[in-house]
Amino acid sequence: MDKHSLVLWAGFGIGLLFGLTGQRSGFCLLSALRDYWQTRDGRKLRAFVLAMAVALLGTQLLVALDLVTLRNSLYLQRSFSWLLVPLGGLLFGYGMVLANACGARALVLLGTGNLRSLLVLLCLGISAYVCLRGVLAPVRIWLADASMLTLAVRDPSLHGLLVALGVTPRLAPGLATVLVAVPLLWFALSSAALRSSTRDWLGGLLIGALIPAGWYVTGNLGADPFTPARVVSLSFIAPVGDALQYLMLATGMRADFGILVIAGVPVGACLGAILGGSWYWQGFESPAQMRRAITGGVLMGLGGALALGCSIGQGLTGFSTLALASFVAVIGIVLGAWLGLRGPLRVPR
Amino acid sequence: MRALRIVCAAALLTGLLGCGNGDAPVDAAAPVPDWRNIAPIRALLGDITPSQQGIELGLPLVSEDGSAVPLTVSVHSAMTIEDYVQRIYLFATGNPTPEIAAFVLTPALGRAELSTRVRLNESQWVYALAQMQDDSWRLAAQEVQVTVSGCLSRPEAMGTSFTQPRVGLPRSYGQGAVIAVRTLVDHPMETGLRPDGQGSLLSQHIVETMQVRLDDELALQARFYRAISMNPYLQFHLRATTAQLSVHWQDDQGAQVQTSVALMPDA
Repeated sequence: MDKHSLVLWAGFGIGLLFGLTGQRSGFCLLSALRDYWQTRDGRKLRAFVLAMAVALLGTQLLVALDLVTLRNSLYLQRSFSWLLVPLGGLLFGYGMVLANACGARALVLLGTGNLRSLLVLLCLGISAYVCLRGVLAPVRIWLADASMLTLAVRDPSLHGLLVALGVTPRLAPGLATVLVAVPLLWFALSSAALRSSTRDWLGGLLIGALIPAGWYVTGNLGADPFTPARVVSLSFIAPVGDALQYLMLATGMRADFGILVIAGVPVGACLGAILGGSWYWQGFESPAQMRRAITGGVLMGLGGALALGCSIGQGLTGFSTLALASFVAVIGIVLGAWLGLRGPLRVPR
Repeated sequence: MRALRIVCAAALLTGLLGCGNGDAPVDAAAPVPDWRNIAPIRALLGDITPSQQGIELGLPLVSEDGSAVPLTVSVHSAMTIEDYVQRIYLFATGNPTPEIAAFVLTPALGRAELSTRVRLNESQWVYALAQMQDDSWRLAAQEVQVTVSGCLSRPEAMGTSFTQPRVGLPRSYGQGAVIAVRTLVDHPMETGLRPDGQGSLLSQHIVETMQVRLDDELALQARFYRAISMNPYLQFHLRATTAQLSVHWQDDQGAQVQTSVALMPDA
């Protein structure tokens, strides 16, 4: 099997595992934040944090073992927009609350028969493309150029920052990883509630592990000296748009890892739902709910495009690279979610 | 019901995986803009009308990255002394200068199929022109939509070195089998159109020629122009025979890079 096909099959497999695990465990950042802020139930949030720690440790291990290089990834670009990345995060977080799911969760729900998430995904994919390559692209580029921040550090990640502060380059990656992973692991695993909820910690662990798996597939299995391709892992903004475009233009377009992950998630979720007997059609209960779903999907697509990722794309994948821009994006996403759940622009349930 | 759902999902999946190899099929209904309007093609053809059969140009329908668009040109020919492709020309009609590359082929290639990565300035029609051994001509054209890149990043400073030649062969092949050979060499392929940030343009610096030899016989020659992407990549075919395959690149400043590898077909 040639490298490209191997990457595609592996991507589908990773998507399938994500869908299956997501459906069985209920892994979801929105639910995590909502449960924590509204009922002080921290299990899902701790599961998400566990996933962040596992993704981080797995990814940095791959880099330390020289199995993958992340230098060319989207998250470690030296320049990013100080305006659009946090703004995008805010829009995404708020949109996530309106739509009642992020892009990844919507794909999982789609697999269980939820037609509301189909609309959310269509709006998300189309608006992401509108922002990235469509009618809003010139505005995005103009704003990005006007607010471009080029970091003085050679390596725009936490390790690079530590090196700039005087830490020896050989120790910096390990130190940065430990500085971040240890508090995350403590927060997650110190809770008896999480430890006793197998569904949650296992879900977090498995999903966290899929991030380094994705890096390995695109950065190692698929590495081809003759055809350099950007190293990527799980992301649910641009790939949703790519998948829609692929459905329409397959005769003149190549599929890639991201598209196959998108294809795999609903299949895995469907399998999980059928096995668990929880597959049934769901639709909208009111026009207001439908409006919120549309608006939420559009905001997530726009926001995710500006922030270079979503709850998984930046929250797990970008975060696993310890890119400074990813920290900004994640803070934006959580703030946006707060605005929708607790803040002045609270969305009525 | 459950089984039906599973079958539908499997069917959709097979459909998704089965399609999409990336190259648009020749669409007989789409009218090709008149090649007579393109000066370099008119200069080559004169009064001759080329055939539009027996040649295919593969490009993605939509490309996000105009700096490295994969292109494959394939001419149907047995590649024997009686019937082979002499030359292939590639033109990008929407670029500042239309020439992409020109190739001189020989029957030793076994198949007239070349793949590379090209720079396309904007959405445009790309043309491929092939001259056969009997001086007949074939023409193919493909339209490519080039969008802006989705990434916010500015391009990193390009490397300036002309190094790291690479040749890729299949792991095993039989004597006489037609095998795909992939070649790549690092080179900035500076177009001469990029501003240097201080008001003037960075001067052009590109790989101009590439020669492929089997023992000492010239099998393929390529002339590259600035529309070939950074780190020029070329895939071609060869009839496998026990010989030394050597590839030689030269740039417009006279620098040369060369590599060679032994072809060792299984008996």
